[in-house]
Amino acid sequence: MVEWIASFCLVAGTFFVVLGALGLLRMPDVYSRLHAVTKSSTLGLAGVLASSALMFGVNGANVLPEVLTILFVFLTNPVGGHMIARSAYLIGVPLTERSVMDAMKRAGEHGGMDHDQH
Amino acid sequence: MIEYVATGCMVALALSMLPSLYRILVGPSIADRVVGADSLVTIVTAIVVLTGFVQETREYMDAVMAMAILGFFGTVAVAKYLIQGRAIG
Repeated sequence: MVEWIASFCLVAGTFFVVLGALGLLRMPDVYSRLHAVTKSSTLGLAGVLASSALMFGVNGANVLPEVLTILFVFLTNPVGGHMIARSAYLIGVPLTERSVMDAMKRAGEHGGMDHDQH
Repeated sequence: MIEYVATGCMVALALSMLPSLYRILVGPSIADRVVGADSLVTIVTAIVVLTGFVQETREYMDAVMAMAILGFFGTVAVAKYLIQGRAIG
């Protein structure tokens, strides 16, 4: 039974990673690609790690590394994606022509929060 | 049974590394290459977890934690380098 649940988590995680790869291939500009990849690969890695924790935890193994890695990935992957998007905007990577608004433009040319560099 | 599921998932994950490589090689801007490398680190981490599944060992979990941490710090370093022209400080 636990094996079935672990297999489901594994397949779900792999599905999300494959979806993120498709988004990386198909999306029109760097911001939407980042949006697709960051969210889906976070959930995908968490699914694979949860499957590992289930499968080895039933046999009495210590699953602290999996739990710590899931927590760390959930904390840091959105932060990393946000930092890439902010640096891409600040070095002037263009948005796609199909985008309807640019919320950062109202905050000034340098984003308004670029601390003590200018 | 789960060894076979893990093997199939490893094949799917290896195939999903190809779009990341495409973005690293031909991505129009430098930010696209950073996104591709970040995604590649995540996929390789998942593949290492699945390698532990197939070989039925726990030896790889320390490597998985180290790869998650190093991927995040690499991304932050490159993002800071793109803005400031230097990575540290």
